Amino acid sequence: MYGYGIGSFSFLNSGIAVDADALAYFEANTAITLDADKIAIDAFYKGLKADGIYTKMKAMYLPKWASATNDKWNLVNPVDTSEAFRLKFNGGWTHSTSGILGNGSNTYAETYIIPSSVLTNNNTHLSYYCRSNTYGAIIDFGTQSGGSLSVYNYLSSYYSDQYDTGGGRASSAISDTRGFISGSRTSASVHKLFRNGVQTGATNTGSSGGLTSINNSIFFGAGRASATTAFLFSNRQYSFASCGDGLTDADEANLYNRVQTLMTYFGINV
Amino acid sequence: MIVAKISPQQAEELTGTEFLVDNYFNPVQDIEGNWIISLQELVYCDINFANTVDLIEYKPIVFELDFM
Repeated sequence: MYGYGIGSFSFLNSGIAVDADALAYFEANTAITLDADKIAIDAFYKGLKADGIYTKMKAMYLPKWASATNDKWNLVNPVDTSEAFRLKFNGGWTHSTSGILGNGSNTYAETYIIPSSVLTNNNTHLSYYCRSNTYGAIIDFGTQSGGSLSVYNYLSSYYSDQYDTGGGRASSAISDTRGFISGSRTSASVHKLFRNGVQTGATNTGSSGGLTSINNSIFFGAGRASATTAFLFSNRQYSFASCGDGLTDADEANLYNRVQTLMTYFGINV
Repeated sequence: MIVAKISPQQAEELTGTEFLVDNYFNPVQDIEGNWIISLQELVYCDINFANTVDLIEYKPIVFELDFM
């Protein structure tokens, strides 16, 4: 880690050791101009690394910069390519400093994360931070093809599919759709659903199916019914999401605390 | 929710086209087979194009959870 900078005093030339991955994100995301924002985000990176979570992440998104150009970045690899899993926004999203708001009719963001080739079987998680309390036939984050890797609130329940929709589904009847939602599988027989860092619903111990059959990339803000079709479009607002290895109970609690601290700093916590 | 009904040809022309930096048109079909785009996208269309579309109530295709 290192700090650098030229010109007038700033966080980056203050002598404070800036996390190298945070620095890469600052260089990609031109909307991050305030020192206070950089300090908060730098602390987020350092916190995830201290908790041992950062290395479990394939992608993280912080879409609260009021434009697709800056909402698209993968914080883990802020490079403007599909291979780096930066988002591609389709349909009429509304970008604001509170998050990205789906329109419920044709919005989704393509992550380019293909589960079968990017993720590890029986070791996966998906999470998102939702700021809207809206019911509906909605998929928030996921994909399917042969099996399903998804996490969402559909009508009045949360669901996590890893990797089939029968024996591999965890669920919980909670009517408020706001909060930090995560589905995590850490083994063939341990699949849990979390809300705000706390497990909700029973641990799913059934069939895991197989991640290897899920060959369509993950959509954010809708489900993916097939290779060519998005469906169950969301009208909710999101300000964070992540995808990667399975997270333990402690990881889930720590990740929620880090995300919630960042959301609180930005004044967009729920 | 009101959306803009477009022709199949217009849908084909718009699909994947960038309407704002890093934002792409995404025409989809409703339950009656109409091709639609959102009003958020319509405002970025050429005025001559926008004048050709009808505004209709969005009727989504119904999927049951068990369908998945």
